[in-house]
Amino acid sequence: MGKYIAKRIGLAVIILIGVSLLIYMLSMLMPADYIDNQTAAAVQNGSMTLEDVMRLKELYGLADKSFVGILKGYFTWMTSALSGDLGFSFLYGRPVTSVIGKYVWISFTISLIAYLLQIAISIPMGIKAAVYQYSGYDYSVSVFAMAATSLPSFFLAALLMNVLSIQLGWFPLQGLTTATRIFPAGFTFAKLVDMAWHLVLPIMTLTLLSIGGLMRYTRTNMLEVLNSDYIRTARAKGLSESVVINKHAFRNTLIPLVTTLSGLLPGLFSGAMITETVFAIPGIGYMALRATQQGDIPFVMGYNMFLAILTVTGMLISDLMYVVVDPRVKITK
Amino acid sequence: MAKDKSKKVDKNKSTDVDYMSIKEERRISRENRKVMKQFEAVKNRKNVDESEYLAVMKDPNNVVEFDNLHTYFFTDVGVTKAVNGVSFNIPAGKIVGVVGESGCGKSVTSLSLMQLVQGPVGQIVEGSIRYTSSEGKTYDIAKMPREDMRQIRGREIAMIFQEPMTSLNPVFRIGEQLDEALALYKPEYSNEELKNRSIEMLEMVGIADPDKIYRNYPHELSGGMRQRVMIAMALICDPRLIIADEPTTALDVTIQAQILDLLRSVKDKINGSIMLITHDLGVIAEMADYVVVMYAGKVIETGTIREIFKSPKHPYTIGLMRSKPSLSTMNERLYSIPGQVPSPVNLPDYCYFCNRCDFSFDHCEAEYPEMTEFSPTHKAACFLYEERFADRHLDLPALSKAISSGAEAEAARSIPSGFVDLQAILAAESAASAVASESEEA
Ligand SMILES: Nc1ncnc2c1ncn2[C@@H]1O[C@H](COP(=O)(O)OP(=O)(O)O)[C@@H](O)[C@H]1O
Ligand code: SF4
Ligand SMILES: [Mg+2]
Repeated sequence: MGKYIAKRIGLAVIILIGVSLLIYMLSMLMPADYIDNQTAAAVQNGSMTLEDVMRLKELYGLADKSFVGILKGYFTWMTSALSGDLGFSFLYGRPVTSVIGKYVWISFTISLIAYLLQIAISIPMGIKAAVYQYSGYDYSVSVFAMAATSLPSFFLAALLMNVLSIQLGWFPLQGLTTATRIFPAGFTFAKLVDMAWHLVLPIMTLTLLSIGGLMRYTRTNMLEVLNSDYIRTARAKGLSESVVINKHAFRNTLIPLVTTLSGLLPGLFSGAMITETVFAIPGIGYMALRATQQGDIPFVMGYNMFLAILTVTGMLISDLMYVVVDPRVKITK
Repeated sequence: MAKDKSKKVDKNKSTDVDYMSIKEERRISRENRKVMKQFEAVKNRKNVDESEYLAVMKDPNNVVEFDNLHTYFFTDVGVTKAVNGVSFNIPAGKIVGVVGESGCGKSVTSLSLMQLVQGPVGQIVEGSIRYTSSEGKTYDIAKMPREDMRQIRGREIAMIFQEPMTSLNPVFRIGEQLDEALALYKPEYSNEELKNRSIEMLEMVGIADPDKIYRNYPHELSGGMRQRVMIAMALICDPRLIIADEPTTALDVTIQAQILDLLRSVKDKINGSIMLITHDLGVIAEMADYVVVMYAGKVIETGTIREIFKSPKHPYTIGLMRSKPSLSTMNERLYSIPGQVPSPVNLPDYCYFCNRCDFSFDHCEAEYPEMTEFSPTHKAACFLYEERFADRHLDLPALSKAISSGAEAEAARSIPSGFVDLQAILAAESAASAVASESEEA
């Protein structure tokens, strides 16, 4: 087991090196970087010359866009990244790691709640739809799930804002706290309630977007299990339908569900770029979008590496969970 | 009513099944849904008065009587008549062998008896399955609500399936799966008692290391071992009837023989009946007391093992026998019945075997033949033997001389599984008659 994990981690490192090289090159090839963006106005009105801009770029190591130049830049970035230094964000004026560390928690909170809600809603729904295949329940749940999944997130978010906030006035429209209220520094209960109130719509958006997929996945797996021979055996023994479904079938459906869902866990830290932006929630996704728009290369690099690590970790967890939940899977190497 | 509807579907359809308009497909699936819903509603009823599904056996010596059973599948391409008017009996304490090519409805017949036909697509649409329980009450299983059927599954009728590799739940240990079955039957047992009894059963089915197997997962066992576990699971509640659906088909030849031996010894122990489904006449010859030959969802011949092996009547039965490898025909090319089973969606309204039959004559395409009786136990559905055609002096099918002069039930029993050894049948036959004449002299 230990050997297997070591092997998988070694593989993950190789993947991460490849990914980082790719992201670095792509970032460097962006048509306009942060310095271009910041100096554009000054160059326009003549207070800065193009030579000044080039000098600035030289200073930040962004001048040489040749292949060799990019490779050199990559190794410089890589060396410091290995020591935990992801560089300095142009836009936020702070170390990239500290920006990520600060804003990731609000994203994580939103995603975690949406994740739990998604599990609590879609798994029972998927199971019921499979057990009553072709019933009215099955059809209506499938249609609802398809509809919710196929809506673009910004559209669904705008729809919820329009109906539940603008028209009904039940929830605040945007932001993390009410802008007109001033809370004392530090933690207070009133502040927590206010924040929770602001998070209802973003969480609802994320949940609605994801339940369709998970519900379909549960339904498909459950149907496959329900058609298998061992379920027929369980019925032939005289077991009640509830034992057949809740014990024999569900325990088998759980295998793909647990592995997939546990693989999603690291992704909860990655932020929901579009939803956070629409609701103006200062999460990591929102910060990353702004940084990308501004060409803040150190932040874009740092954030994308963070995503890559989360993804690779998710895959590793998913594989390891197979060993935990499926007695047939044994690691021999 | 359901039957009328399905007939209508058939008639409206063009004769060419391969092409079906989307409109037609929609209509079929809409009608199917309506029919399936009705059947499901009937099966799901709760608190149904017992009198609604009580029945009376025609012959009290039988455990099960199938009577004109029809089980259809309402699929999107039309109604599949998997079982289409099957009648036969399973007498108490006997082994009834059901044979026929694959796809002829053997499994669906047995699943109907357990109410395990894959719903909502598959439904018993007509006929009855009478079953006498250990308490002496006779039920019509075709009408029984699902809830009450649970009392019969496992403890009254148990089933062994064809695929030992997939019939055990992969995520539970063998012990748990056995205990669970027993706990239903003996709710008063403690966990310790359950375990002891399960291990005892594993030992009984010839598992050498029952304590270890008890703790194993199914994937840790071989196919033969798993089938033994399935047999132990079937026996654990002392059922009156065991359905074995091709119990050896998925196994190696050597393991097959062991499992058959086990089944035979099991039969002596439980003092119940076995419905043994197979497509292997060798297995039937070795095990069965009665034989039911099925073709395209219908029974085309029934008889005692002696009658079927000594004087088979239906051309299909004879074809099946000729297509078995045997010692006397070792060097010849193996015979196989030409042609294919008709599609269960578009069955003709005359003899289903017509397109493959060497003996068919003009009347075979006029209607479906009724059963002709040769003895109280021996019947076949073929026009060749009907009284009204007697004056036409039709050619009758027969086994080659060597076969037809021998084949006694006792002799058939000594045939090794896997092939019908005609020489051995002959030898045993002459020995048997020698013994008989000796005893007469004495
Ligand atoms: N779940 C199902 N759905 C549709 N058709 C089925 C189903 N199960 C069986 N059938 C049909 O019933 C017919 C008989 O099948 P079966 O009883 O399994 O044959 P066998 O004699 O080989 O056991 C087959 O032609 C098959 O097409
Ligand atoms: S009825 Fe005719 S076609 Fe059918 S089996 Fe008999 S002889 Fe052959
Ligand atoms: Mg079968």
